[in-house]
Amino acid sequence: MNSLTRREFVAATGAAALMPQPARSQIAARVVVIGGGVGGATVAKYLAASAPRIEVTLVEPKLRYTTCFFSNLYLAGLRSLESLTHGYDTLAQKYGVKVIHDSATSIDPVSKTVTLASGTTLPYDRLVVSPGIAFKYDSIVGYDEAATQFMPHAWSAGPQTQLLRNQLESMEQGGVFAITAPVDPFRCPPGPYERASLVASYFKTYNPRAKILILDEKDSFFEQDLFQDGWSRHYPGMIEWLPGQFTGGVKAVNVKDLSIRTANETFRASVANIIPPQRAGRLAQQTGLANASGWCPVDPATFESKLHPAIHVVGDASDAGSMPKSAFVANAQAKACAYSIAAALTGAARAAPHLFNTCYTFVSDNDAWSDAISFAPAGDTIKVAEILISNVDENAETRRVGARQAEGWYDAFTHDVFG
Amino acid sequence: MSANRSREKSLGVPRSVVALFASGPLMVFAGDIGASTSSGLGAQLAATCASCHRLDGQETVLASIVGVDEQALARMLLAFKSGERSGQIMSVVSHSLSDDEIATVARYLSTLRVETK
Repeated sequence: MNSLTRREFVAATGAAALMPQPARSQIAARVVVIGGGVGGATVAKYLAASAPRIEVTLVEPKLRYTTCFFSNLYLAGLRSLESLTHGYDTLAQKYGVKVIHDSATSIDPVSKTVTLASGTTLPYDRLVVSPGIAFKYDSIVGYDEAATQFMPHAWSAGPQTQLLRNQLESMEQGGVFAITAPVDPFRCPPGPYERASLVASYFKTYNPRAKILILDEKDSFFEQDLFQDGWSRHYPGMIEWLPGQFTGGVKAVNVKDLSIRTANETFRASVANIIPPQRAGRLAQQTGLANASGWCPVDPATFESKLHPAIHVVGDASDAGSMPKSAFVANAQAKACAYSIAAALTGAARAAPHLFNTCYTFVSDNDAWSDAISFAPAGDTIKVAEILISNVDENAETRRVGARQAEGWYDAFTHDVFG
Repeated sequence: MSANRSREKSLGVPRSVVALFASGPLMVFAGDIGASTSSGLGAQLAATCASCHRLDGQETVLASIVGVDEQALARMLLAFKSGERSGQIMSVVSHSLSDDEIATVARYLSTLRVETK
């Protein structure tokens, strides 16, 4: 049997503070990862674990990260926010990732340095940027950062999610909960519709006369047949979906009376959840990693930016062809990215990357389905190779098992990212 | 399929050594991504599995793939690939793997052991 490796020894003894740093001469290269969401945390973990001679620094302002995925279960009162919140101690202690809780304020791609809010400058050989999404506040009149305190987006998990939950709990009996659903592409394509479903499951018990109104920018949405089948079985008459051709798009909001003006009509809500159109996170825009689409074009095999060499972009901020903006995709991209960086910096062998997406989607607490998609590089982009989705004919037991599998998936997936 | 938990593989960490140092719950990371062998081609393929199956062998609702015999793992993946077994996620995953990749990932996974708490 092998003896303990250094990392295992440190992990077993909990003696992270005593963990010797590799001598300068042993460090082959420095990689800085900006953003401690799923994409950034996964890159940092897999790079540190697979290439010990690469010094990996993860820059993330928050001490703990709350996952957006599964936060609809919190809104329905089915999970605690705490159960969706994860720290970075394991990345530091078990894998030797240097975690810095600070904000990156600027990137200099020429001198290859990152400057933090504290004034610290971090040099890098490769940089990974995983900034997630930013909201296009200018696209809905009256909706800005201040307005999110009255009409939350709750599309980045944490205080916004709590605010929306509090509003739903105190909503008047028989009131209207309005959700606006943005144009493609946006984070989590089934998310707005799963949110409507799970809030309906909450209302069914606590506010049975309430209505849910989805004001969509689009004329159709992902897994529409599955959702509409679920709505008619579980919540007949409670959820109304208005497509873009009916609404003409969401034009303006008024926080004073919680009204939402579309091209054709004004709707007054008791609780309003505005999910604005999106683009890549601020740092990506500021550094010129995003193009006119608002997203960051990347190489389909390495996730290196097509606009700035030696900078990689993973997760929601990337424009990775047909890959949707999901946590699962961010995780898959991050692994491909980590192994390609290790290969480039240390000469390590690299297996051909396999890219997948899997989503479990809840229409009620005991009714969940899944989809699985494989992707393959095609020219300078990434295309769908195969897609399999649950169908409306599945029986209740299959869906009940799906819901339990989803819970197991959450545990395994967050362990893969943060554990 | 039941996992064969009795196999002792060469990657294992002597539990007695860990016990000497651990002050809290025993955690052995021999089979997880933190192992020194985690940069090989098998590990890179297995990284895909880790998105749904914990590679420390801890139970979730999804089937454990740690501590399973190499041939059994390969047979299972090939059965999904051929359509003999159904399940959309594993079907899509297995369809993307060549037979050589299936052999490589099965070999790697069979070297992992269940962590002890």
